[in-house]
Amino acid sequence: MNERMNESLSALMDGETDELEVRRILNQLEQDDELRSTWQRYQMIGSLMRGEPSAAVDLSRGIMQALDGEPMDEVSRPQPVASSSHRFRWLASGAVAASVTLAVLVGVRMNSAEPDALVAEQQTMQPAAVQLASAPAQALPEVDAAQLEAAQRKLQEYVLQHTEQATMTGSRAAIPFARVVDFQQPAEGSQ
Amino acid sequence: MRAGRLLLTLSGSLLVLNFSVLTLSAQAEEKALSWLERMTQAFQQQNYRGVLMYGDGQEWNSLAITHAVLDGVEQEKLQHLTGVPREIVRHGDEVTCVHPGSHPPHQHSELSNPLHGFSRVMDVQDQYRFTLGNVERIAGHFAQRLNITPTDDHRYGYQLWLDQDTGLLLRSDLINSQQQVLQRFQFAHIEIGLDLSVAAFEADRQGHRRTLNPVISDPHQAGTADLGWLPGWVPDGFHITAVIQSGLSQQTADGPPHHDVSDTLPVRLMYSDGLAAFTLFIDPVDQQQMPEITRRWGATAAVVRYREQPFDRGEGHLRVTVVGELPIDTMIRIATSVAPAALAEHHSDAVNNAPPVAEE
Repeated sequence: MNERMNESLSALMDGETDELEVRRILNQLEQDDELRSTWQRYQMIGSLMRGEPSAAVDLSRGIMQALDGEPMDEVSRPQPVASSSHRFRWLASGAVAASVTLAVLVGVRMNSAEPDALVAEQQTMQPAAVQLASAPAQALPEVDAAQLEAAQRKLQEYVLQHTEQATMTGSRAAIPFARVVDFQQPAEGSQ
Repeated sequence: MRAGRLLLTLSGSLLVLNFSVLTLSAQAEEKALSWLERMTQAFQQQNYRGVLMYGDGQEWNSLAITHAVLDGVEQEKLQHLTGVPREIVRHGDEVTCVHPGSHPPHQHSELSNPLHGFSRVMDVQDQYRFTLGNVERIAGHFAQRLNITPTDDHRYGYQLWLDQDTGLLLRSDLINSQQQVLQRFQFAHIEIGLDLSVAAFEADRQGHRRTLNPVISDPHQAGTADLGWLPGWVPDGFHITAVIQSGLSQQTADGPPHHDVSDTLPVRLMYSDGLAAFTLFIDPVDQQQMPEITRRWGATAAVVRYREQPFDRGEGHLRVTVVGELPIDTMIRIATSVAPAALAEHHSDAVNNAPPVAEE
């Protein structure tokens, strides 16, 4: 997979792409086996981290449906995520962004976990979060899903703390507006 | 003789001209800075009510803002007009959040040194250049444009549009070194100088409510003496503005700050250069192999890095998290510079002169 496509995929997962770009990537996904497997891998890790059972379902269809204005199937609904984890503000921005972000490994760079092992697991066994989490050590070397999720939650908590603190002090600072916005993060995270 | 005198006069005038150009530019900067001071005061002193749009170019939201000073106490009400219905009401230092659902895990925080308005902003002259731009029209008001350009690559720049009559901020663009707008706030409509009563600042009864009681203590307490770990490098002009206590000790408004000298972790520090801010979190962790994280959401970014504890401090690793409104490269450099306090201060100068660390 070339670097540019990898970047596009990351941007897609981060919900940082526009509609045209999303369509382009999804078309690429149709044609490129390697890219598709990477995409599925990311989705699965994301699902794992959110403790969802639907790890192996390809979300690209749901995203395309959202783009086309069609009703979305169950997989693409943001509710399951909302109930189980704190969301950042970009998670709540309309159907397209929501379904894109559903498929996201929320920004963790997999420096230590070996993604290929995950794919092997996905192909050989019924994908369920519990099974994967308790898979043999070589499936998820060094880092297990629970640890990943804990790290992710911790980071979100820290971002909230920072923005809250900045907002509290910001009322006296020179640029209060720069902080006003961040108040919405705790609110949305509470859904 | 005559020619010589002419030359003398000419060079004399050139000198005067040169001098007056310098004076003029200094005056211009002073004038620009005085606008910043007006803005800070206007925010705290003016009564206003308006609708604010904000976003990063991909996503836009709006917010209704009402602000007044009643009996010497600042009152503020923020209502989100997009997304989940939620509002924030502030009476002086007391903040109440009203929204559906429960709050995410939250830690009490202690504010040891709220940014001192303009007294802190005075420090920014070394880090930013201030120039005045044109007068433009924003939300029906004529606004003076103020350009704030960083003098290095370690922070973002701003363009501010300030109401000509009151100095109130009507639009703010946060800009990176490629001149891209990372975040924009802009009033769509605003009324300034209204008569407002307490009734305008009542919070709705529905939904979840939480009150934050910031503890404002002596700013001199925000020293680094008790801290075991510090960054060996932060960009010029950044100072510690708050020490945030961990939620484990459940800091309360009336309880004295809990200080266990032997326990130097976790560390929670907020830094600011007067305009930008970041928070540094240092925690002990067991795991060795955890993913390092680099993320940006609009203006806000987060970096997570892991460090090994030195031998004399026992087993385990440190997790260093930097969250703030700074360029990613700067935040990575701050995170990777964290060291035991004595070492960090000792090497601080050397590190400051070193070329940027490009570590990923």
